[in-house]
Amino acid sequence: MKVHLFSQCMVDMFYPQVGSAAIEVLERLGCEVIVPKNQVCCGQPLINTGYTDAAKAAVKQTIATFEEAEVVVSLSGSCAFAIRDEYQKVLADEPQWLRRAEKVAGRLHEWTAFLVDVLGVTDVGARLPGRLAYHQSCHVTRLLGVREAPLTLLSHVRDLQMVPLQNADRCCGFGGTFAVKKSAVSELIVEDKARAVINSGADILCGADQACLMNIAGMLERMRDQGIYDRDIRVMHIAEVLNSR
Amino acid sequence: MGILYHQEMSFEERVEAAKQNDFARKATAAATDGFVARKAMVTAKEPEWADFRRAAADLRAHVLDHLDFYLNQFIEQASANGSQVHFGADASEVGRTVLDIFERHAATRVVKSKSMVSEEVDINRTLRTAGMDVTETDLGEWILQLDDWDAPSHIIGPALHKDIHTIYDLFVANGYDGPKDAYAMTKFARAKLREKFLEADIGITGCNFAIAETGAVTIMTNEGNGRMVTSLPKVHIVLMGMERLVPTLSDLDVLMQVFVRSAVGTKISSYLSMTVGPRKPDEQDGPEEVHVIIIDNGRSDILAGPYKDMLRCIRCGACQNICPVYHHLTGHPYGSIYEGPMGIVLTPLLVGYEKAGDLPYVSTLCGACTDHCPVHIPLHELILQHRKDVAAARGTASAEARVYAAAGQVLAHPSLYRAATGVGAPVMQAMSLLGHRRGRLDARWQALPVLGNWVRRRNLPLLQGKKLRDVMRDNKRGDQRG
Repeated sequence: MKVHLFSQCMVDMFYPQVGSAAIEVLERLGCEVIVPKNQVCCGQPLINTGYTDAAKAAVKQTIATFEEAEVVVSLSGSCAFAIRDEYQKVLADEPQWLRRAEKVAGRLHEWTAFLVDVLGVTDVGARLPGRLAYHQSCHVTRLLGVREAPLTLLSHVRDLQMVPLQNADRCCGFGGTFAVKKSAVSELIVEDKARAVINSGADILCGADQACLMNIAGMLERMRDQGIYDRDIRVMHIAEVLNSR
Repeated sequence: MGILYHQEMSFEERVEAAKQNDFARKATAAATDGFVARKAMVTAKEPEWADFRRAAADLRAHVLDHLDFYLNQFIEQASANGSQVHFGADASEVGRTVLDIFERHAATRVVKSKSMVSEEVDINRTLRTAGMDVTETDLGEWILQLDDWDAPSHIIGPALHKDIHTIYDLFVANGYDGPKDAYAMTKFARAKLREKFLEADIGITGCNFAIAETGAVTIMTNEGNGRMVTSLPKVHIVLMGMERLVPTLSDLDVLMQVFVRSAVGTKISSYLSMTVGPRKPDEQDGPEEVHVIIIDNGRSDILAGPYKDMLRCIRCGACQNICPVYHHLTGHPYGSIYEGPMGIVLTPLLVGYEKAGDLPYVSTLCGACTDHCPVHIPLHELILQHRKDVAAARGTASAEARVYAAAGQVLAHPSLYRAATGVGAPVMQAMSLLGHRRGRLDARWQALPVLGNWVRRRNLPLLQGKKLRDVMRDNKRGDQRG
């Protein structure tokens, strides 16, 4: 199956290894993966801050980049939601673009949901010894309704032990521009999330949205730098976990 | 109180102040977690819970779609059973109407049960300025009153932020000489409030729901103070938001079921008081006069616009209980009597963007509120709608708008993006070399705008010299066609 990958600007810029891992998993499962070079950003930082008009350029660029694809897979749950749902509101006053947005929306899948629901795969043959806590990010869990797929995939990773994470589906406090616009509040929320990770006893924190992971990892690292705890906690996108052998 | 308070402080200052109040933060976290856990436990055993929510949501939507009809029906029925119905277009009209009633009865002493709309129209200030003796009879509200009319912090538990030591000191200052013990202190409060109930000329309540088919008004309390306020004084004034209607008594049942589960996680409230007009000739007790003031205060404007669904709100507080922002902030930083998700949607609608345009940004748009709202208000969508309207109101010339417009161009054009990240990556590399942590930006850079807000308490990874698209190109992987 030919799959066009929407990598997310954050992965492109800060975590290319996550993108590479996701591609390797898909290829191992028999997909031909295209990474269109004209993709940049889905535009949600602008949409979610209320700057709908300023977001249109990025929105249209994304649509134009992916509208010829049969299958689009997004590595980010929040981008998937933006493309699938928000784009139609942004383009409500431009009927032609709206139709093109609807076409892309109909062909778009979040990465873990694609593996389980489209490829029909629950065991990708991964192996990763460790104790893993899974953060259930807001967009994937509540806004896209993808609750089971990530957990199912993780449950088949050999030698991996899942540990419960308190308030796993509570927001990590990133919230896009909220993280810097209302940073005092964001810090309180992510600190709580980091403490939950530390208290879970996990040595791996995993999630399906790299933005959340960047946020929690940033706090975990700072807390470690400050000597608040001292064990190694690796932060891995689920693509990296599933690519482990 | 009016809707807004602590406005002399900026939002950031209010957050700082709240961070110092360790007790309030722990109490709020414990209470909200407790409400959520109890609600989950109760509803887990009720497979019909989803249906009840759907029915409640549809009921509220239906009433809003036919509000004129149901208001008319309510007014006819209420008048027929002897209630006097008034209209309050805004806070000052409500105040005048209330003071008229006081004047006609030469009344000076009033007892109140908890009513958010009464705070909204600032009725306590109106009454106290006119020299009336006002007593809040909900225990939490009474405690706030004793503390120089402190602001509520949670829609169901207004005094969540007060610890037993603070309350003890307040009680001592008001004549208490018993031990610092919750049971003994509550008995003191009960005795004090009993005196107030017995000597009050007038009782003022809110209205959880008014029933159109019978003209009844209902309130729910956990303490029984509602029972006292509605039956002991000679005159009962009901302050009713114009949207707080149900068509029939059995519709009330549906809303009560979702309300108590969502508010406190129980199946039933301790007291439900239903007032159907004043005392009839053959009745032993009840007020001689019942006045219902139907309050607009901006609601009819909301009804006509894109935020109409907000009027479905039944003031249960479920959204506050589940909101991660509220959980950590506690109530006071919002600076509004309406806090949490419902507060950041409703407050700007009532007071405008000049005064409350920042509130819609006090959210991560995580959607937990929408998930929990018993009447399916799309809260996170309304919060986002506010942001769009605020941005539109501020226009494209504002400093922030221009920054976002520029960012929007960089994030839309591969060549601009490549140029920006091409510069950004080595700059960040150099910055990290100056810091303490390899491969990261740390707190050294906290004075910088925007970036500084991240690195104050979180490490930031660096822009990679080789982005994913560069790796793809180098490996000749994937389609590099435009």
